[in-house]
Amino acid sequence: MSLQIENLQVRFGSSQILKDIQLSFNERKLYAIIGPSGCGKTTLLKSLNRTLELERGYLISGKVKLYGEDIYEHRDTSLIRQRIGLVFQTPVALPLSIKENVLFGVRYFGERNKTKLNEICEKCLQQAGLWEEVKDKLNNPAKELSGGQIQRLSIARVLAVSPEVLLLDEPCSNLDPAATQMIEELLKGLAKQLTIILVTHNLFQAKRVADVTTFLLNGQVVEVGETETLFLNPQKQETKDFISGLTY
Amino acid sequence: MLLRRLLDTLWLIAFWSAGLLLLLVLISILGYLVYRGHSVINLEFLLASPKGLPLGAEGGILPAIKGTLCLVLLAVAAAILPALATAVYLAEYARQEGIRQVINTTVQCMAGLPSIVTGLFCYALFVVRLGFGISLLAGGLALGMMVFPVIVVTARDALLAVNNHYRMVGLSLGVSRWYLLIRILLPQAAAGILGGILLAMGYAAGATAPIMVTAAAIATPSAGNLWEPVMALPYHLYILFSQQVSLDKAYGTALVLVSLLLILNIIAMWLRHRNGR
Repeated sequence: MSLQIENLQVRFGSSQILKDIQLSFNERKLYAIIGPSGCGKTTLLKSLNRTLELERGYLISGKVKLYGEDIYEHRDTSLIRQRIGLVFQTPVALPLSIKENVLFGVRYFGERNKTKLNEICEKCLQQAGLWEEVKDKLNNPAKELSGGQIQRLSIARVLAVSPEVLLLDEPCSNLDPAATQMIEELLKGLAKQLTIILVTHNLFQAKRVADVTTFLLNGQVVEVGETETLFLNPQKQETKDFISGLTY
Repeated sequence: MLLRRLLDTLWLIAFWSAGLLLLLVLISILGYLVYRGHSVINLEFLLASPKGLPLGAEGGILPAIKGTLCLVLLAVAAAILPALATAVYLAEYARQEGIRQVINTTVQCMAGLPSIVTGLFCYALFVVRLGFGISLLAGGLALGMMVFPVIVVTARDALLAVNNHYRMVGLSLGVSRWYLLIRILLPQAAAGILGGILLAMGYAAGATAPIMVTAAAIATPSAGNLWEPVMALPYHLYILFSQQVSLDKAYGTALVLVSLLLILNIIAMWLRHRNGR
């Protein structure tokens, strides 16, 4: 088990956003977290690599264990965020070249060797399915790329620091169908190497790519199951109601 | 309906004329300075020392130009590091609202301090207490204290204007705030920060009160010795005018000073505009 959440609670002021979350994630699997807007999906994801605490006002309690070690007891947040990568909903190109975007974290973690840096850059862009499109303009500003390309660049940037878990927060919500399909293919490929947790409000997407799907409602886990089982034969009434939105 | 349209037009005219009036005031000041001052502006005026009796009635203002440049550079050199550090702390590091508010209020109070009070304080501290005497150094430090809040506020705002996504994306990769600052935030805010520094330079160049009590001399051949008094454009102007030495030379000096400020402000505006995009 690569990531295990025990008893996670998140409060913001007087409102409780996540209640008593218990979930576990295995290696080399793709997990989807679905639920209506405002159910706490994004908060859950951000609390899994300690980026939630960058925003003011959140109170987090409970345990999130990465290979048995509680990330909230770990003093080095930097290391935690490197091991558990996060891709945001909005595609963001840092104001650097395409190549430097990919190497942004790598350079921080101390890699100086030029050949090695070039290798990492090429490998990660290839993994993100972007290499062919950008290999001749690596030194151009990254903001010249399209939204879908920037989102794949964001994935390459996270992959470059070799995370063990990859978190994605609705990575396709700002993208067109072609770009979405490209990213879904990419995620399925990546799931052969690492743990992927994908937050989405697109049920079709969860159905298409995820091995296991979790349904979150009002900050609580309602149901977890193999994707196929959960969609075909949900156990809880709330899940049924939510999923039936598919056919109705 | 007709009434509404009429009122609309009336308001439009009112706002336009208010704006035009302001522009008119500015243009007439500049115009008057050019009209009164242009006759004395020539190479000798810019490149010679004041001569004649009373001193300044003839000759030029070169030592005052040099002195003002020295004072301004010294002021910025003294203020820039503490001001940038404060701005970076306020924009990037201060986590507690309380601390941030205290610092912001302090900076605001410093900005609101009458410059003669800053001058007197610096006189007591640098000139007397620390024994610098009336000197370029004391004046530069006094001006530095005066422009400190200007640089803090412009640099802070330039940093805060940087897209917040960069912070989230950067930090979520595990890099430190310092690395993020050096590689992304400071380069992004650089034009705005530089604009603020130029604005501060203009402010320092035009200030008279703080240097009157800490640095200024009616005449001195040297400019650039830290421990000696210096001449400065605004103070020279004040003497020419208040002692009725030469009104023509006073207008000439004013024209030189205002041109200097105008150039600095135009560059600052251009840089801030670039940062805004």
